[in-house]
Amino acid sequence: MYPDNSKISTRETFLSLAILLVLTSIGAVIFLNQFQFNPAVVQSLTGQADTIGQRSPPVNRPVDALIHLPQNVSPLTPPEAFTPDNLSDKINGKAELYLSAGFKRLDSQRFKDDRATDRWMEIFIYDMAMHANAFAVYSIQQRDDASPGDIGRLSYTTENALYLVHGPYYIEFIASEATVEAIQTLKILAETFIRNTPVQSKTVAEPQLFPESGLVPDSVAMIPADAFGYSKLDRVFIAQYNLDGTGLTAFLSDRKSAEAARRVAAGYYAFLGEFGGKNITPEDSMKARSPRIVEILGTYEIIFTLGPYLAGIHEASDMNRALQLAGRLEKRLQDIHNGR
Amino acid sequence: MEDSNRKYNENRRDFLTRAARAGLSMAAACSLGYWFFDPKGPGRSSSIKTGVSLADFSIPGQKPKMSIVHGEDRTETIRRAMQALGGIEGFIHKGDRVLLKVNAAFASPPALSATTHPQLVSEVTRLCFKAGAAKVIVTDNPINDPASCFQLTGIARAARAAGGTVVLPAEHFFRPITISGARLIREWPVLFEPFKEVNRLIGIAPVKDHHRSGASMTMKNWYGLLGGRRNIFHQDINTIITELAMMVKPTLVILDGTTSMMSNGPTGGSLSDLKTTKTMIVSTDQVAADAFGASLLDKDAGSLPYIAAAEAKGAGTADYRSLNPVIISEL
Amino acid sequence: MTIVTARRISQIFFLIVFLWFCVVTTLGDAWWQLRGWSVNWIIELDPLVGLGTLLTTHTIYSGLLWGLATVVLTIVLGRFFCGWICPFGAIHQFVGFVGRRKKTSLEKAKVNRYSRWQVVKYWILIFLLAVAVSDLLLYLIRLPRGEPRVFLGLIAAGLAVALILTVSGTYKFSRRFLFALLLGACFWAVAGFFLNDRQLLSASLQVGLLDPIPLVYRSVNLLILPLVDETTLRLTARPRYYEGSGLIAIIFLTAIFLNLKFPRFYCRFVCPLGALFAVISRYALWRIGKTEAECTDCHLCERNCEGACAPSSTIRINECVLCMNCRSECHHHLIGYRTSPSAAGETVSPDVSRRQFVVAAVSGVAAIPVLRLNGYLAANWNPQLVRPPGALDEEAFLTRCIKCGQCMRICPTNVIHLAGLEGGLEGLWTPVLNFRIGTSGCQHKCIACGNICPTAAIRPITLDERLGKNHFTSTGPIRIGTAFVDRGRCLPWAMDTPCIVCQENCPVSPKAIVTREVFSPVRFGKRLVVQRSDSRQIELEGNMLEPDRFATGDFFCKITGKVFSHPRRIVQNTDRRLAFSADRPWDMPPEPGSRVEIQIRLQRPYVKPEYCIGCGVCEHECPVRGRRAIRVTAENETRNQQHKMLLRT
Repeated sequence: MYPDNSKISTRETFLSLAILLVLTSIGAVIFLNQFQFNPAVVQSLTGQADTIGQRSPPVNRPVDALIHLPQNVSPLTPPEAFTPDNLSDKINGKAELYLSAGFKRLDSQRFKDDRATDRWMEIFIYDMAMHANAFAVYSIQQRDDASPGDIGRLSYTTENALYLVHGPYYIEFIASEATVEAIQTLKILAETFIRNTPVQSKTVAEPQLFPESGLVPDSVAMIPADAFGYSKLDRVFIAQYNLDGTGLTAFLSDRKSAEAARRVAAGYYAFLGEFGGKNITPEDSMKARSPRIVEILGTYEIIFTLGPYLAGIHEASDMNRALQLAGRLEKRLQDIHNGR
Repeated sequence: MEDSNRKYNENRRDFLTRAARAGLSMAAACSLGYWFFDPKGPGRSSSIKTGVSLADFSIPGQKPKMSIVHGEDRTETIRRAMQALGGIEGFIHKGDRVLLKVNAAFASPPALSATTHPQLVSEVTRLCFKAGAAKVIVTDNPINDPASCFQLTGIARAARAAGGTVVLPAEHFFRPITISGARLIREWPVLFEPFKEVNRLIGIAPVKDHHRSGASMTMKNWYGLLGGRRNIFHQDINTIITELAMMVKPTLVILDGTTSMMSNGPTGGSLSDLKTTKTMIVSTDQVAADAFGASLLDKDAGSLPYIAAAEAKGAGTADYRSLNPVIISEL
Repeated sequence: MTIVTARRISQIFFLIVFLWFCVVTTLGDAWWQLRGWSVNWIIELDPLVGLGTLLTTHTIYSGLLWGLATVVLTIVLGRFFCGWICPFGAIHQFVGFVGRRKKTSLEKAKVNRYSRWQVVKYWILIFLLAVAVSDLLLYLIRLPRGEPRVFLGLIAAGLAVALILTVSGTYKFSRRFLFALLLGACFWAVAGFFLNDRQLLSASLQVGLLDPIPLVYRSVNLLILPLVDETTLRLTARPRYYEGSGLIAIIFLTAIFLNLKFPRFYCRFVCPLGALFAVISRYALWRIGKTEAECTDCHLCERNCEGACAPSSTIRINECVLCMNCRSECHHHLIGYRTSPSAAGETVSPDVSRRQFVVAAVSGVAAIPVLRLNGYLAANWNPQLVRPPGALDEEAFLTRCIKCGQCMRICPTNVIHLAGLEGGLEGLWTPVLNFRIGTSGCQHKCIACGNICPTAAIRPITLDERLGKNHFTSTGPIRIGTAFVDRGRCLPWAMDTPCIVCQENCPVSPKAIVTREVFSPVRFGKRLVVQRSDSRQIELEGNMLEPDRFATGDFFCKITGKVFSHPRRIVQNTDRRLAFSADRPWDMPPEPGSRVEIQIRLQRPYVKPEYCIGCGVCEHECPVRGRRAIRVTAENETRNQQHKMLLRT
C-alpha cells in the first residue's frame, strides 16, 4: 500500500514501540485501578459504604455466647446486631412496633441443623429492656394459628416458628420448614437458651387482674403507646371477653398513683369528647368514683379509676353487658386494692 | 549555503520563541490547575452566597432606658418621650447614619393603623437630622408590593419630606444570615443591603393584634427584614419572633400606641378594630417595650410566649418596671 | 513499525477502552460490572470539561485535573488527542475511510481539501465558553464597585505604563486610541453600578451539548447499550428505556453518516473540543510540515488527510490532527514531524474575524440571561424536575452538569432520565427522575449516581448522608421531593376500592404514608331488606347480590338507620344470604323487615411530608398505571431551601 515504506527508520520503529509501551502501561494501570471499588459498588454489596469518621456500628455480640447451642446445631451465618438506629435495616417497617415499645437491641443469627441439609433456622432476640415491653410486643403480634409452646407461660408455636418471652427478651425462632422435627429443634434451642440466660423472674401482674369468667383465652395483650388513639394512654392491657355471644374489650392500666390514674382518665375522657363522644353517665350515679359512660360513634366507652388503676370497657356495642363486665372488673380491682 | 544558514538561524530563533511561549502556557495551565484543584467537590449547599451578620446597634455602656408618654399628638409625644430619655442626642450623634425600620407591611391608609404612622416617621427623621445625623434611611420588606406600600401608607412622602431616603427592597439586597443558637434563622435571606451603610438602627412599630402571635409590636416588626419564603415561619411564630429579637440589637425601639389595633390584626381594615390608647413608648429594650405594649391590647405579657422566650435568650427584660420608665401622663 | 500503525493501534486501544468503560457501567462487582473501573477517565481527559467547570465553578473537581495532562501534551505536540485518542474521532475516521474507499486519489484529495466553513467550530467554542464565562465577566464589570481599590490600582498602573512609554518615547499612542481607552475606562466605571451581583449574568455549563466526549458517552449509554440490553447479550437485569433517545439517535447517526460524504465532518466543522486544541496547539514544539518548499504537487499527502489542513501547501497547524497519513503517503519523504515550520509556510491561527468573535461571544454571554427570563431558577421553578439525590441546587447544578448520561446508565433501577425541557432549554439532557419507567423508584440505599458523576453536579454522598444518620443526624435525610396523593385518581379516595399499595411499599421508617380507615356504603339500585336473620347470617328479600362479591373481607354489613349498630364483617355471600365472621357475631340480629346496608372498609392514604424523601417507590408501584394517583414532585427537596414546604422536617 505504501510503496516507499520499505525503509522505515529505526527511530520511527523505536518511537512506535515506545508509544505501544505507553498504551500497555495505561492498560495495566486501568486494570490495577479497578480493584479499588467505587464506593457505590461497596455500598451495593455490603450495605456498608465508606464509613470514615463515623460512629462504629454496634459490636456484634456473638449469639453463641448468648445461646448455648445443642448438639447437631451449628452457626450458618455470622451473628448480626441492631440498635434502634438501624433496626429497620433488618425488619423494615415493623421496626416502629418495637421502637414504640422501648426496644433496646436485636441480636440475630442463622443456624443450621446438621441432621437435615435443608433445615435451618433464624433466631431473633429482641432486648426490650423490660419484661412488660417484651410482653407488649409478644401479645400484640400473637398469631391466629398459635398453639401453646409449653416453654414458660408466655410462649406459643405456629407451623414453623416458636415465639416466647423470657425476662426482658422477646424471642422469635423461625425455621425454614414446617415440620415437627423443625419445631422440636426450635424447642430444644429455646430451652437451652432459657437455661443459659438467667433473668430476674419478674412477671407482669396485670393479666391476672382481669376477671376470669368470659375471658377469651390468650387474649390479653399490652398496647405500649398511643392506645385507642390517645397519646397519653400508654402501657394499657386489653383483654377480650365473650359474654353470652357478645364480644367485649376490657382495658386496664396501672398508673402507679391514684392521682395519675385520675389525670389520665380525665384526659382520655376529654379526648373522647373532642371526637364527638357524649357523656351519657346517668345523673344519679355521678358520684366521684363510679364509671363514666361515653357514647361515641355508636359504641360505648366506660372509664373508671380505682386506686392507681385506670380501667374500663372499650368500644362496647352493648351497654348493659359492658356495664356488667365493668362492674366485675371494678370489684376484682377493689379486692386486690384492698388486699395490697 | 549562506541562505540555508540564515534559514537555519531563523528557524532556530523561531523555535526558541515558540518553546518559550509553550513553556509559559504550560506553566500558566499548571498553575491554574494547582490553584483551582478541588479534590473534594462541593458541599451540601454550595451555591448559597457567603453569610453575613447584623451589627450590634445599641449604644455601648448605656443602661437600658424607657419612657412612656401619654397623649394624642404623635409629634408631641415622641418629642417628649425622647426628651425623657435625655434627648435623642444621647443616641444619635453627629455624622451618624440611621436606619429607620418602619412597619410598611400593607398598602393600607395611615388611618387604619396597620402600618407605622407617617407623622411619626417624619418627626423621628427630623429629630435624627437635628441631632446631626448624616443620613436617614427608611426601609421595610412589605408583604404587598413595596412601592405601593410605601406610597399608600404615606411613609414614603413623610420620610422624603423630612429629608430621609426611602430604600425599597430588591432581590439582591438579601443575604443569608445564620443566628447562632437559632433553629429557624439559618442561612435565611435577610434584607441586608441597607444595613451596610448605617451605624444606628431605630425600629418604629404600631401596637397591633396579630392572629398568629397574639400581638405584633417592636419585636415582630423585625419580621419585615426577612426575605425568602418567610411565610413558612407562620408555622412557628413564637420561635421566629424570639429569634428575630436575638438577631437585631437596635439603638432604640419606638412603639406607637396612640391608636392600637385591638382585633382582626395584623391587617385590621376597619376603624372599629381600633382603640385610642394614647401612648408612645420609646425604649432601648425591645422586650420591655413589648411587655408594656401588651397591656394596651388588654393582654398580659405572660400570655405572649415570645416575650418570655426572648427574655430567656437575653434580648431584654419582660419586667419593664425594672427599667424605671419615665412616665409622663397626658399632656 | 510505522508511526501510522502505532496511531491506529492507539485509536483502537482507546476506542476499546471507551467501549469497555461503557459496558462496565452497571452497578455490581462482576468483572464486567463497575467494580473500580475508572469509567470517567476519558471524560476527565477532556480539557473542555475541565475548562468549562473551571470557568463556571472556579474549581477543577478531582479527576478533571487529568485534562491538564492533555493540555500540556497538546501544547507540546499539537492536536494528538483528536488523531490518537478521541473515540468519537476514531469512529469518524473509520466511517470516513469506508466512505472514500472506492474513490480515486484525486477524488479523495478533493474531499479532504480545507473548507472555509471549518471556522464554524471556533464560533461554537467561543459561544459555549462565553456562556460559561458570564459569571467571571460580571465580576470584572463590577470590579469598580465590588473592589474599587483593585479597579483604581489597575487604572493607575495603566496610566503609569502609558506615561512611561510616552515619556521614554518607546511607543507613541494615537489620540484616537487614548480616547477609546478613556471612554472604555469610564464605561467600565459606570457599568458596574448598573449590574447587581446576583441577577442577569450567571454562568451555565453548556459545553456538553457538543463536546464530543460527553456526546459519545451519552450516545452509547442511552442508545447503543439499551439496544444491546434488549438482546441476549444484555448487561442489565431488564431492558432499559429512555425517553428522548430519539433526538440523541438523530444527532449521533447524522454525525456518523455525514462522514461518508465529508470525512471527519464533526471534527472539522463542529467539534468545540477540537477547536480548543487548535487554539492551544499554537505553540506546539513539533509540527507537521514540508521539508522542501517545492514538490511534484501530486497531492497524495492530502489523499487521507484527516484534518483537511492542506499539508501540500501552506499547512494549517490548527486544523492538523496528527494522523501522520501525509507523512507516510508522500513518496518523496518531503513531509516530516519536526520542530521547524513547513518549508511551504504555515498558519497557526483560526480564521476567526473580530466580528465573528464578537457575535459569538456576545450571543453566548446573552444566552443565559435570556433563557433565565423563564423564571425557572426563581418563582417559576418546575416541580416536575426531580433531580437525583445529591444533586446540587439548580443554579450550581447547571454550572457542572455536562449531560454525559453516566448517572442515567449506572442507575440500577433505570429511574434517572434525560430531561427534555423540564429544566428549560438550559437543562436539556440533564438528569431527571421518571418514576414511571424503571424497575422501582429511587432506591433508598443506593448512592451510585453521585459516586459516578464526573463533575460532582450530583455530589458523591455517603449512605449515611443520604439517610441522615450518624454524622448527618442533624441535617436529616436527603429529600428529592415529596409525594402527593391525587385524591381524584386514588382508588380508595375516588373509587371506593380498597388499596394500600403505596403505604405498604413506602421504604422509610417511620413510614411516610399512613392510612386512615373509613367505611363507605356500597350503592345498590334497591334497598336491602332482611327476611330472616340469626347471629351469624342474614337472608335478604330478593336475589340482589352477586355471589361471593362481598367475601373479600373488606365488606361489612350495618343496620340502616341504627346509629349504634356496629358493622359486622361479611365472610361469605350468596345471591341473597350474608354470612358473618365468628369473632363478632350479631348480638341483636336485624329484625325481619328492617333494612341493612353493605359498607366497604377503605384505608385511605395520607402522606406525612416530614418523613417523605421523595424516592418515588409509591409512584412507581401505584396500580393506577397511567397517570399515577400518587406522584412525587420536587416540593420540599433539600437541595433548595426555597423549595422548603414545612418548617420542621
